[in-house]
Amino acid sequence: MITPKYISDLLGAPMAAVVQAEAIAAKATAEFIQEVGFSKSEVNEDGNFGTVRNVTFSYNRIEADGQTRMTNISVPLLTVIPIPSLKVAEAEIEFDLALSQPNSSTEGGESSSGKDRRSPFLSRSLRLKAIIGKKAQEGKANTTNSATANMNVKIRLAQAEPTIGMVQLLNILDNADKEN
Amino acid sequence: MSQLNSIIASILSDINEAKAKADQTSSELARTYAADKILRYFPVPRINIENLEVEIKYAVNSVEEKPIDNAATRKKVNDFIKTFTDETASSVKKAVENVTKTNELYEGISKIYPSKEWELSLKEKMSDILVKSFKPNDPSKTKDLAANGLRNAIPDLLPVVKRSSSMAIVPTDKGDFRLMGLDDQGKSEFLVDKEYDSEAEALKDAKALTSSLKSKKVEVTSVKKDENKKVEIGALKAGNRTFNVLFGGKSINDPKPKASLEKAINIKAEVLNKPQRDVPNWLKASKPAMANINPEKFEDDVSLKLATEKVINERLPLFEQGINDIMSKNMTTVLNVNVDGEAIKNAQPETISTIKFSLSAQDFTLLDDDQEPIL
Repeated sequence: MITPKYISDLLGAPMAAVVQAEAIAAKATAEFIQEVGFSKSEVNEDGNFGTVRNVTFSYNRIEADGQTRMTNISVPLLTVIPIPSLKVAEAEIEFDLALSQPNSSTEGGESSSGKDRRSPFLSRSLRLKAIIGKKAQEGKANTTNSATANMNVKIRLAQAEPTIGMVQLLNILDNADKEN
Repeated sequence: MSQLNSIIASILSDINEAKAKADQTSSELARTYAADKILRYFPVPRINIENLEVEIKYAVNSVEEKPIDNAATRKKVNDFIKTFTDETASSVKKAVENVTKTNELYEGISKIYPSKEWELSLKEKMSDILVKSFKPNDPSKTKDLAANGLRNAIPDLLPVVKRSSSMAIVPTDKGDFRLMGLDDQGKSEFLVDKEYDSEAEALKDAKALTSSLKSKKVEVTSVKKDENKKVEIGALKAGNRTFNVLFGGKSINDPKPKASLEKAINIKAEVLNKPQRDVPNWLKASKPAMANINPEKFEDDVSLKLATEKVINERLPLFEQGINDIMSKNMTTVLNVNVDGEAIKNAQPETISTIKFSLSAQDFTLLDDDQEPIL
């Protein structure tokens, strides 16, 4: 990676990737449920999954009168096999960046737009860019072409509860679907 | 080269933006999940930053003292400006009063001008200019802006008298204008007995009378005494027009008023016909208000302007000193640093420093009054 990127992009990309990866895993689980648990391979337009795929087995059952009778039991397949479901409980991201500082005359600050009415003390006058760099090692000169990092970032992520807003959004969409 | 606080602020903003990008992804996924018959029963992926550590290596380029421009400093400056404005407006008013009470050109307005209300308007105007002039990082610019602002703004609040060396158009407290004849000392000699609605109208008559005086076509046709007003009324015939003039108020018992008026008219004619000469610089410096007054040409009288400028010039160093005192007590040490990877590689080892900071989950959570997370 040669072109310097904004630090927010470099930090945001792995975090968003964790979220997206979890979604991909959830999608795979959903497909597993659909393919294994139901008889149709594709969902109809009306959302009908088709018939639940059952497993049927027979066994000798002793009745109240002491007689033994052959009995058939049918249970949904999904209830007897484990469903693969993965969730990222915690993630750690660490990387090293070589910062690139713009000249003061070309600093891409937001205050220069004239729209920022905050006091000069609070306005953001600088936006740094960086490239992924190589960690500097004590006493060793950097002999490769890669840039030597001067910023190290460690982020520990954990699964969060859905926000109130997100729960409300899901409820609204669910209700709208039922009303249709 | 940037200040270290800007660098850290920039990185903190980037961290917030990065978290927002992850939340944006969760938000988009929420819609996808809701539309899916199976995924709608799954929790939408959402992450929290439990802990974030940043370590940055930077090269110190310079260390400097800079004034702090914050609300507390602004308040001190505004308080100082208020006091300064009150004192300066009061001094300006006194200087203006001194001119209007002693200079006969302003006699017609001296009863109502300058008033308390005028002083308040002056204060407002001055305060507005001084607040806008304040540039915390550039004291000399503050001084220049304040000086120029005040010098340009105050004349707007001063009455204008247009005058030549022998005649003046003076304002009255009713808002109209009178035409005044002046002697060689600039003192009132006579007053044309007419109230002019506009300065232009008065100026037209002033020029006509001046022209007649210069061509020696002004004749004193009669003089009579008005016992009630305690003035002499003289009739001046200038070409085909007659101007009634009031004079002699201070020497009503002049035994030969007509001769006195004729003498005054003749002196004016002489002055108007005398070849003009350059006023030497020492005289201009000694009597700036009287220097360069043209016998024929009507120009703005500068007495009030000079009086107010004198006050402003005396007060401006105090303004500069006051602002400097406040700013010198509100200084902060600023590190100008370079975080560019290449620049650090080439920097002197002793200038290189490291800063580490960490953020916890709470730093990314909105808390209510009981310190409980809102979301």
